Amino acid sequence: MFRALNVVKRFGPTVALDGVSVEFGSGLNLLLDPNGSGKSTLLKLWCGLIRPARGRVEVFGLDPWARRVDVMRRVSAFFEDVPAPWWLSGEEFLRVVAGKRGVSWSTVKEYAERLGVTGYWRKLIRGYSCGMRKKVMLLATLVADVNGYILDESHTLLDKDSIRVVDEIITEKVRSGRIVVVATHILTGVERLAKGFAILHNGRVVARYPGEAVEVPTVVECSSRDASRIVEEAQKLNPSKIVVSQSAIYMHTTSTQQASSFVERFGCVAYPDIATMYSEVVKV
Amino acid sequence: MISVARNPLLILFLLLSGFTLLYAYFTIASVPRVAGWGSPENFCVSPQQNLFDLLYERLYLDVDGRRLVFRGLFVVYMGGGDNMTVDVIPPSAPWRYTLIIKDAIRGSIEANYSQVFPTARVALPVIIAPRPSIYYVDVRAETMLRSVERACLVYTIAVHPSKRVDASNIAIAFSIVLVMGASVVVVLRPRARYWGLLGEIVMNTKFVWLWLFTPLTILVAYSTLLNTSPIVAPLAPPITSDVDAQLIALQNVSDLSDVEFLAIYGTMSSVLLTLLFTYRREIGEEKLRDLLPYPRWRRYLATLLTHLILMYIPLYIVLVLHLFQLIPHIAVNNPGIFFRYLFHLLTATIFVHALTSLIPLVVSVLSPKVSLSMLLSVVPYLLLLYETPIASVLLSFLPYIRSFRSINHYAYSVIHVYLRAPEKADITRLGGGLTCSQYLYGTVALYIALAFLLLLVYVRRENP
Repeated sequence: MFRALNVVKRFGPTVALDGVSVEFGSGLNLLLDPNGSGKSTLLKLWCGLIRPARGRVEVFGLDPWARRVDVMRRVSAFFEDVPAPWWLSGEEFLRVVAGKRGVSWSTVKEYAERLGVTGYWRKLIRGYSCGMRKKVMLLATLVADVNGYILDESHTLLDKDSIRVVDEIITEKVRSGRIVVVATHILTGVERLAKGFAILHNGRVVARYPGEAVEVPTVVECSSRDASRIVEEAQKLNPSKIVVSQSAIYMHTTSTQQASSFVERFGCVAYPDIATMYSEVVKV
Repeated sequence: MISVARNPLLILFLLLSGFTLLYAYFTIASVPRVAGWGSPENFCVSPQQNLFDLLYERLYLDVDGRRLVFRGLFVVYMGGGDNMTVDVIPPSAPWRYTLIIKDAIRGSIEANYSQVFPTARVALPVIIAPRPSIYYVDVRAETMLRSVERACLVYTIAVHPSKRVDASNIAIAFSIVLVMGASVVVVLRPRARYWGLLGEIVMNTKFVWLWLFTPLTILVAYSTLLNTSPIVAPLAPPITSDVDAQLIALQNVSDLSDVEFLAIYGTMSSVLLTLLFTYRREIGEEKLRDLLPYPRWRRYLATLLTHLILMYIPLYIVLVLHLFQLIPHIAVNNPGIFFRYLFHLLTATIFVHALTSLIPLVVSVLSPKVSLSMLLSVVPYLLLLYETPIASVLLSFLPYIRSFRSINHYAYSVIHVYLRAPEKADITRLGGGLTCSQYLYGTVALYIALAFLLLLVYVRRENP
């Protein structure tokens, strides 16, 4: 469980977080904000890299600042601004991580092959491109067998195939009951798995789910097996959008009641329409 | 074979050997040279000031101011076959020259020489050391002056190494090529396993390895320059042509002085430690380590240990090997004394490591930027070369520095170390009179100071 309660963090005169309260449980959780709104700061607080000026931060019930080592035994984190040690090769660096995380080398190798890292990992990191370096760092984060994962801007700079593989790995982690927190402003489709999200703007939470008394736009995804009936029922409810594809029917609605009735009646899956929500917030 | 190469202990061993041999190459295994010193300028006495006291060398007037007496007591560390001369030129003749040489380890008198010479400039005896040992030398010169007047005396003490250096030079050069080549290959192999404190030290070593080539190259070049440059004044004064003694001809080869050595070594040491403390912090790589379940204190400890292993243990190893080479019989016949001495030197080494770590640490606290802190941390050492007051402050920094200087002497090119003689030839007190326990207490105190500074680093850096 990642928790922040009325957290304030200042860097000199700049207020990075101003009374932020967020709680993320198991599954995928997204932290969304335009640049400079404080999401990396919140993630660093959860990793014990910095200390809040006010408020409380907890990770699995522990204070990350006071018990960073214990927290990092349960959490694996990736930050975009943390560089890799250039004087090591990618393979050496992953061996360091594997040694400290207690992960078998065969597991590392398996992940590395999926992400296409093995082709270059014997060269020194200083010779890597930004994307290559990012893949090694992501690999070092995702290979750990821990309870929680923090990924800050994990999808930028990656090619399409790498994004797909990272999403697959995130999906596997989520399905095995881990907590994954992804901070991003790029939505690649994995957000459909999201169990929770928070949108930050200028250091404040402007929307969050769950735990927020606001209408959250929802996507209801139904199987296309009973398509005509579902579409007919959906049209009666006057949703904001209906999309029918070969494999599924998507209904966008702002009513959680409507969404739950479809889930109950037709066995559909409902998830927050984060993309719409985020674009609305950014517009404001 | 591959699994052996993956062993971090082996990697550390190879790296350590490489560094050690490299130090050895430009320290003990350079050109053969002469060690020694001469009388100070105006080593004179007069009826108004009838005593010139250098603590262990003394010149004074006796018997109504007409008898001039010179007395010197010192300890010389010589290998078997080394030549030693104590050359004295009195102001008048006839004069009596008395020399007593005692093996400080065995307690036996090796030479008891006394002779009256009719002229002032004569060929004095050359003492050839029968075996490697520490020798206690008592020299005395007396002459009756013609009248009560100002009188000056000149003396030169010199030891000429007899052999072994050239041979070891070639062997070490070959070893360097082999071991360092192997080390580079092993280090650049990406298959090493890393874990725990040892893994951290190996990682640090690799980082230093990549950085240290430049300073080492400069150091070797500088060392070579000093060995051959004519602008460097010889330590021993040149022998004038009217001295009729072939055996005491001195080589006109100089050594680095203590100050120069300390300046160079301190500079290297500071650069290394500043790099380890500030560079990775500056580029943000420290955060990466914070994201792994690895306590910061172990990281700092690994940094200090890396510094100790790379900068000071090689010196110590060179010294120990050298002692075994020169005085093996002490290790065999008096292992207690020998190991006490090694322990004493080890604590002194650790103490000096702690002491020299203070400057870069203070600077790193005040200025975490690598370029600025590196510059600032080497400034005191560079000033050593030019500013006498600073040099005198640093070099008179208790007898600890003197002890370290003696280590430098051993490890550096001066094969034979002269030390102003203590009252008794107690080799556990060669460093300047401090006991092992004093060193230990001092070391503990300095490490507490270091820990305090680390705490400051931690508070300053970890809480933006």
